[in-house]
Amino acid sequence: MSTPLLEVTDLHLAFASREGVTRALEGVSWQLNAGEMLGIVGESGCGKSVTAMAVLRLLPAPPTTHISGAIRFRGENLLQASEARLQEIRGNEISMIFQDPMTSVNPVLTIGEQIAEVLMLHQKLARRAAWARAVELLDLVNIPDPQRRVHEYPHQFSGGMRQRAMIAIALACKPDVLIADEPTTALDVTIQAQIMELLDRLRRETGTAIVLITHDLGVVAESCDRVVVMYAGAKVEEAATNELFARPSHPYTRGLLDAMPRLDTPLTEPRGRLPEIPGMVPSLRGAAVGCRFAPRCALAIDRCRSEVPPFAPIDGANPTHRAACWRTVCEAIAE
Amino acid sequence: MDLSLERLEQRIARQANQPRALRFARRHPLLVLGLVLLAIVVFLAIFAPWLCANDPTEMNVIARLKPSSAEHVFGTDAMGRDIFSRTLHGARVSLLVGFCVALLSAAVGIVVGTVAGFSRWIDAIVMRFMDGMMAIPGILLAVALMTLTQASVQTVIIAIALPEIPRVVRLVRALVLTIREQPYIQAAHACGTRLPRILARHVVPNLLTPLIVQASFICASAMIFEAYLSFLGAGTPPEVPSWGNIMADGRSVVQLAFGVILYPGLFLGLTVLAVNLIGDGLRDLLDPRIAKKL
Ligand SMILES: Nc1ncnc2c1ncn2[C@@H]1O[C@H](COP(=O)(O)OP(=O)(O)OP(=O)(O)O)[C@@H](O)[C@H]1O
Ligand SMILES: [Mg+2]
Repeated sequence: MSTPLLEVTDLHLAFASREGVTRALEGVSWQLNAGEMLGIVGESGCGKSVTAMAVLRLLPAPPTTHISGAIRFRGENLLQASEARLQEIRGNEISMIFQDPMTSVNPVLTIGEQIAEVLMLHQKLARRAAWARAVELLDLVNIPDPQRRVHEYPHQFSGGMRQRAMIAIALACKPDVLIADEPTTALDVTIQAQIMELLDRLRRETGTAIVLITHDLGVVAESCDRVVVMYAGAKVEEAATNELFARPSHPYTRGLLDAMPRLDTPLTEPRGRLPEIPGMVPSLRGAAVGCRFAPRCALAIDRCRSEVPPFAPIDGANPTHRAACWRTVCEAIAE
Repeated sequence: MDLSLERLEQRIARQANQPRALRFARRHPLLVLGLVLLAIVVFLAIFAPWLCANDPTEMNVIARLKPSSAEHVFGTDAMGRDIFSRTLHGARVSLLVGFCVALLSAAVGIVVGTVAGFSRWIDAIVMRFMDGMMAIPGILLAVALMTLTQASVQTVIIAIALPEIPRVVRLVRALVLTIREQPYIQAAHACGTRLPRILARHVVPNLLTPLIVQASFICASAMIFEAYLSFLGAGTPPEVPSWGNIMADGRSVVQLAFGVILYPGLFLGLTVLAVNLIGDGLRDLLDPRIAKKL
């Protein structure tokens, strides 16, 4: 296997404030290969967004944040990169789209100006060329009548169109990596599907690798190659998408899957309430003793509460499917 | 389709064929009214020396306190000076003071407020200083400054701008603090945009609309303030015909020659109104959400 395009290794991240220290990430690792779509899923507050922000080094400066580990982009450790180098990378080699399309574009600049800006910044295009390219990009992301739309302000765009415009900005410089932080959460279901389709198409056409952050497993199932499941600042399971859906190993992953509405059960059958995972996400204050999920886990044993489980393959046959659990679900069933 | 909607479409099409200027005037009638009024005052101010037959400072003991006549359109004051000429020349002083104060306080406000909004330690120092300035009543600060320095139009401008500055800085800083937390600023960072450019291109344009409106009000109030200071004898030097000075001269002869106070007062009122109308109009014009409304 060649070296991965983007590699996050043992990333630890803590926020310090007067009230104490929040351990937002505790040893997160993952890899993104060229052209791949990697899904990162987990409940709200598990550290998905901060992971993305850490990759682009957009977090507040120390002493507010403590960050350790390594983030390697083409072998270069971004945690040690200079600010000038980071500015070169941001928006050019790695770009990001944000959760809320309504507030992530500047209301006083036209869409065209905002697309042209990145092109002039990174590709050193002249104003005219940048505007021409902006029109092409709007066309690429399926915005009708791009010639006219390019001169419009964000408030004249619908939410779905703004998200497309954001994607156009993010893809303007043909980045190698696109980090999409819940790109569809703020949108309704049909628009969600269109945006996902668009991302999928763009990935195939441009070869941009995508990190898709979401808490919607349905979205993951449709478009991701691999999935990383996070819980309370740590990775609890990682596998190829099919494998994960076929054999979820960590009790948390199982819980997430069970909490998904299923469309394949006939409507005539009584469906009842969707099972939910009992309890709440633990506070991130203080160091972890044992498995963070143990208090909510039906299968927890004493060991789970006292020792942090290692992240290891769940069986010898498939080394790419790994989980951090003392009692993987399979074992529990076998007993 | 709805009949009224069709009619609306026809109207839009009709308007699209109209000359641009006419369309603009229809859409922003108050702005245009303000601009026209101000243009007239500016015109009169610039061409005052050629429009007036009489010198604004020339005294004439024989023609004291004369009512309007062909020779003295607005009459004369207690020293026989021509009010028309004085009022027109006074427009120069008022406009100069109004615009300079607005520009000066807005410029200082943008720079200081933006920097304070982005740097914590500068913020701590600057804002305590501004708090200190705000604690002194503006009129006191201005009067003190005028007595300490030699009376001239420049010192009047500084004396009026000084108490305005902390208010503008506060406004800008408050706006910057909310703007800097906006996701689009983070998005700009994520695109690799450098901080100076983010300030210039993403922060300052978002300040302009509220600031232009504020500046127009400052301009209007500065003109009033100048008249106010001159009326108190702490403003423009008495030999300069500013509206405040003319009115101050007319104070004692109000029953004999009301015109001495009336005309400069009228001009002051109209100019202030014009500037305020322009401020309101610009707010609508510059807000992209309102600008494209019918
Ligand atoms: N600037 C910050 N200062 C302090 N704590 C922070 C900061 N940013 C994030 N956190 C904390 O880090 C944790 C992870 O937050 P994050 O935004 O990554 O969650 P998330 O997984 O993206 O959730 P969501 O699905 O709701 O977006 C949270 O507990 C949050 O309170
Ligand atoms: Mg998030």
